[in-house]
Amino acid sequence: MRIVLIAGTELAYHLSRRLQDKGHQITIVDKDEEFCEVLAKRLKKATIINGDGSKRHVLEQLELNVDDLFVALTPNDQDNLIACMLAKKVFKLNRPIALVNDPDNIKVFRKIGVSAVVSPTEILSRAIEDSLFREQITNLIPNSERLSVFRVEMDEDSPAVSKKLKDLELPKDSVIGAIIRKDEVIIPGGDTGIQADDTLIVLSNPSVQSAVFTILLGEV
Amino acid sequence: MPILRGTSKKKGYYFVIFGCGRLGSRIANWLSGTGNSVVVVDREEVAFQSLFYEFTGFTIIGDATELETFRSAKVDMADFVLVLTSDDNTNVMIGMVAKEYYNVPRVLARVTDPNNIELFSEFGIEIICPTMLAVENIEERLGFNESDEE
Repeated sequence: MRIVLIAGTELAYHLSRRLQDKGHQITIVDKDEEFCEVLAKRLKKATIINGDGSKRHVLEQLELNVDDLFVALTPNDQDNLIACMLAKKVFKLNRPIALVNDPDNIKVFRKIGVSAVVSPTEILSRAIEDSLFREQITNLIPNSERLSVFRVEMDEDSPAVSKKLKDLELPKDSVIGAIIRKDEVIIPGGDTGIQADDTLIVLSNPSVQSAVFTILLGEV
Repeated sequence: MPILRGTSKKKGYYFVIFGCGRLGSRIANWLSGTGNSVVVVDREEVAFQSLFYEFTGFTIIGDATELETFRSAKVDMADFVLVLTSDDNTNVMIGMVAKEYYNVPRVLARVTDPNNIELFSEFGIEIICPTMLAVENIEERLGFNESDEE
């Protein structure tokens, strides 16, 4: 299968090396003439084309086929969007893939009709969050942007233990929705006390989630 | 010609202008001076220096490819979005977000490269192409269209 990569970043280079090894034919389109020469030397089997991959006349030279895989990898979301829209609308490619730098733009791309999106920022931030959170915290809905839902396990040392909910001073926009104590589920009120080995289901606005963790578990 | 087709007449309209360059700032000054509410967005603070002292609208420093910027400019409330930055792709993305995501009644985007007009018109935004306007104007002055020259 032919794979067309828009923008010859380091990412495109390493991708190409791997995909070539699997027998795919690679074409890279990049604006920077010098970098194209470097790429041509490093990737002997790939076709390197110097030009702006978000321009119709450049893509026309590629003689794109509906079965080609098209991936826009530039550092600019707008260029990736336009390249993919061109590929889809003009060249009738089935499913162009766009790299989305700003994760907020994922929903924009989907709404506009570019549904295959990859966001390295989101992947990285999730990896970073996962390694930051202690084992006591589990993100129950990792894809949620507006609402954080976490399972937080209390142990004897947790600062919130033996306090009542109303005394915790949880930030606005956060709530402890349920407490799981042994096999029982408690929907807590202000007078409910937290005990060691409780599991709390915490709902909050993502912007205050770390403040909530600090109150429940101490400094993360 | 009515300035705003498809919107009801009221005291003034709410305009969001992306890009405060030569074109953006002139339009902003004019719209503000004629009694409309105007918000101008640009990445660079220095761009706002070309706004008149009498400009009564708001300025927002921000990257227009970020949704956060759309939120602070209250694009969802806008009657009209004018996209006038110097980059065609940026303009079309902003235009599409304003149209598709925020349902702004009228969205006008500047596209410099005439090769882009056809494609971008399909995306549901109105396109203005300074290059083609100049071409048409020059053709007219040279008398190559069927106007009755004396």
